[in-house]
Amino acid sequence: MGMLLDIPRAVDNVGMVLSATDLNAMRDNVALVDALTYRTLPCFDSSAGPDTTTPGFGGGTGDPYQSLRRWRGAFRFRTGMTTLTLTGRAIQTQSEVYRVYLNNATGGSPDATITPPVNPFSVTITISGRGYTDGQIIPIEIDIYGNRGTTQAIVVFDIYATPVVYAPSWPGTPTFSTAFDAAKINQLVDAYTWCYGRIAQTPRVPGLVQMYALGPFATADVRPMYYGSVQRSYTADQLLLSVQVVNPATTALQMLVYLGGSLAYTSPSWAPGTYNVDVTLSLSGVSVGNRAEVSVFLKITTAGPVASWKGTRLYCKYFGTSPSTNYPYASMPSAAVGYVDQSVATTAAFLNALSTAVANAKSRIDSNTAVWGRARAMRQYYTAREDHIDVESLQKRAPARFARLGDRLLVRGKKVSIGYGPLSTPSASTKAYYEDYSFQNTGSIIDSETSATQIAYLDSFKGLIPGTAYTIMGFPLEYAEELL
Amino acid sequence: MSVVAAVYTVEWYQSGAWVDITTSVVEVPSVQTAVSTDTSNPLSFDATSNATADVTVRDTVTPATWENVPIRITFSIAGVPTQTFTGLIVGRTRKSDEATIAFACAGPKALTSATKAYSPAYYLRPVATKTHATSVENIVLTTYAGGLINYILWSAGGRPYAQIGSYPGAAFYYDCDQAVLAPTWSWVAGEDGWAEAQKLAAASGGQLYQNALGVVVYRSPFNVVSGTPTFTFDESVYGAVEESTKIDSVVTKAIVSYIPRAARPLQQVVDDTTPRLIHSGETILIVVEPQWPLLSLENPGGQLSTDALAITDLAGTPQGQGTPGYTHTVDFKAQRITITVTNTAGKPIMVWRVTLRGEPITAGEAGNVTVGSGTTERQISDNPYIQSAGHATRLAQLVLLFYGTSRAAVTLSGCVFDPSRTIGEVVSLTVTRWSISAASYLTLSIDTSDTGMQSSYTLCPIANIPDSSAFFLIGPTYSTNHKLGY
Repeated sequence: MGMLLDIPRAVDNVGMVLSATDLNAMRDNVALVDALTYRTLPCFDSSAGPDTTTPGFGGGTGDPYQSLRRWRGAFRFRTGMTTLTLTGRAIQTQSEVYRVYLNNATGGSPDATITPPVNPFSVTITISGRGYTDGQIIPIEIDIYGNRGTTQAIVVFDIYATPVVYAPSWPGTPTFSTAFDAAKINQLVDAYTWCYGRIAQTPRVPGLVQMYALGPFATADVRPMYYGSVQRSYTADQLLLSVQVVNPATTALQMLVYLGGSLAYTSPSWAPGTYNVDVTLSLSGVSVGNRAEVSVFLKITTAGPVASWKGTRLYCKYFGTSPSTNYPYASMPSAAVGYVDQSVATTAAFLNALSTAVANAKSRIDSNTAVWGRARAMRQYYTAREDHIDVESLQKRAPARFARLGDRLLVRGKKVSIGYGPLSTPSASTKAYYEDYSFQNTGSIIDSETSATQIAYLDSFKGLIPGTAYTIMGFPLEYAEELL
Repeated sequence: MSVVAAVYTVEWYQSGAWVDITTSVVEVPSVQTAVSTDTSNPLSFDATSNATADVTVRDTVTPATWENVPIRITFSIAGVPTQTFTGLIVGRTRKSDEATIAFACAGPKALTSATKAYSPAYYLRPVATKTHATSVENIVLTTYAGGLINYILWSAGGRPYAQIGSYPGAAFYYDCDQAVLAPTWSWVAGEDGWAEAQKLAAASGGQLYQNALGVVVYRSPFNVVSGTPTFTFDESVYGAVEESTKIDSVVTKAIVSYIPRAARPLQQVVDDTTPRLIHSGETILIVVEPQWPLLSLENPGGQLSTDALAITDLAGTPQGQGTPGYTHTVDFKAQRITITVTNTAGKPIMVWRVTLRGEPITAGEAGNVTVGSGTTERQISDNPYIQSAGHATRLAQLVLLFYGTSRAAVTLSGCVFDPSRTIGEVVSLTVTRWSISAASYLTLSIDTSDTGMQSSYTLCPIANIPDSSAFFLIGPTYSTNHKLGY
């Protein structure tokens, strides 16, 4: 199954030798399952820069009937799901409301309405009994409607479907003593395979990256670059913001990060240049299983005598959790060695260590509903309208990004491809063509210009080994999920 | 050396019973059975086994048909009868001037070679599975979980020796150990059945041969050597002994190559545009063999999807599944799809195109595994059933285990034929001149000629080769130290 190393089923009393290679495959599989129970999550993306209808830059103030998009994305419906939950915060400037539509039903009655001011809001929508089929990608659209002021704002913290249903029954874990019988060995294999399947049942969706987000220009200015939220899933979680900042000409540029509405990080003042920065912020103020709003700004503190077209840029490589110290992974027994005498107790201890690790992994899955009980939605590229004049540029600006863990990639969209490896951007003497970036390695998944769903086997892309980051581009990319 | 009397009995299987034709036999010029005919690498996993006999009879006893008639030979030396050969008649030479017929006989190898078997694709299935009184061997049963060697032998007419009571008239019998290695994917697709079985045996470090009872035996590497010697070959038994070995016979490094295989997503796997006419009420068979073996074929409910067969009447009007139109059945094997189409339209119809979707099992890039070091290396022959680095590593470790010590074969000649000796038997060897005293050897081959009057034996030393009792096995209870397998 997936990334597990499969071994033949054990059979009793037919002369089947207990193989060191098979035991080590089991050990590797248990280690993998144990590690996968600690899932780092990307930030949940809400909005980005000023041209993406981000808070304070919503637009449409002169036309109450202009229903501009505030959020668009999708989730993957699976049999057994009953509820879609949306959380966030919204302020009210005049009489605006936010409307939620599922499955492209815009224009009709909204599936939910969020009436600000609400901080936080939590809205649920029943998704069972609506005719959705297993595996169907369901678009979600949130727009603004009614009279609104310039400070209009909504930040979506999270959208997820529940429950995550995994049909196979838990086989339990065995205890070994003096016999290594097929029933127990197969039970152990079934147990870690169950965990793997259960982990895989919770979709792993990517966060969006911003390849060349527009920062402030020459004048002293503060611009929002990102709004979203981070979930503290484990005690060891911290927030990691991995960015590249390009300051072409301004005298002094800074990055500000707010966590839960409070300023949590102020960068040094950056002179002209390119800066690769990994900002890590403690999540000690966030309870495990809860989320906190994250917002990022670029600020020109000293403009300097420069041309106004030399805008600053932000490349967001990863916004999400990472362990501040290693997650408390299970200790694995030493690798089994073939053709060496060993005691019955040593052999049993090896298998019992695996059994214990699997049982603990199962408990960890069961107890962490914030991670394993929610099928998260994925945001589409940032834009206010489908017919935005720069729609292709906006799509290229905010593709999705994964670090490979699984063996297949499910995507929905039009003209979807992936890119990985070295990234290059053409440039001329006076201009960098950020939007024309390209990866050394690319692979097409959907050629069609009509929306389609496709599964790609990641092994078929040369060099894309597990752990390698890859970017998913589409026009548009509507949904992506890596399948274990 | 004592004087012994040799007599024989020859029987063939006619009308459901063994018939004694000894009185019509002129001579039995030769009988040979061998685990391996390769004396330079006597225990090599890809060794060629053999079982042949020649029998000359008077031409008055010709059966109605001679092809593939079972035949068995029993020798009695000094009054002890032992079945020495069981096989099939595979050739005939008639001589009118001598009024004789010389039958060439071979083991089930001949029958198995001629069998063109097609199987499903098996995932991580040991190449052979243990045959016993209740093992499910019938390949058409949905509960079949046997290995591909079992599948091939059953397809060739063989039946498990452990269930001989249920299959008294089987073409031959087989007896398999549980293989210690399992390819990622294994299947057969109409090749020479015996050759494929030998490749599977080689890929698992096992041995495939026919014993004197005519039973095809698959031995796992840890059962090649089992039991303690009950017979000793010494100067009183043989006339001369010869050993030949080379400088590179002790291997210090083993190299095994592999080609990984993996199942791929559902995709088109057959596009056949051959026009096929079906007259009203008639049925035709369409057999297609996809380029890659298939894990699955898209045929929900046992029926092909509605767009799989493009069928119209002669005017070009599309015909649908059902009546009127056409009905069909599908038989799916890894690399052979048989579609039976029946015309129910009441008029001639034409199959214009067959397009099928399935999950192919494709090959990846080849790799090599090296185990051990030093300069005396052995490269294992390429084998399509070695499909992962792990498999290749385990096989290479077995090669070092078997050939890290000299396995120089010895040939004992000038022996009186002892029908109680069998290939695969562990015996003692004493050669005083070479200071070999009661060393354990494996009987690799037995040759007898002149109607049992002469015989020679080829043996192989088996020091340091463990049997399965040295290992932890799945099932039993243990209280003492054992080894893990590779």
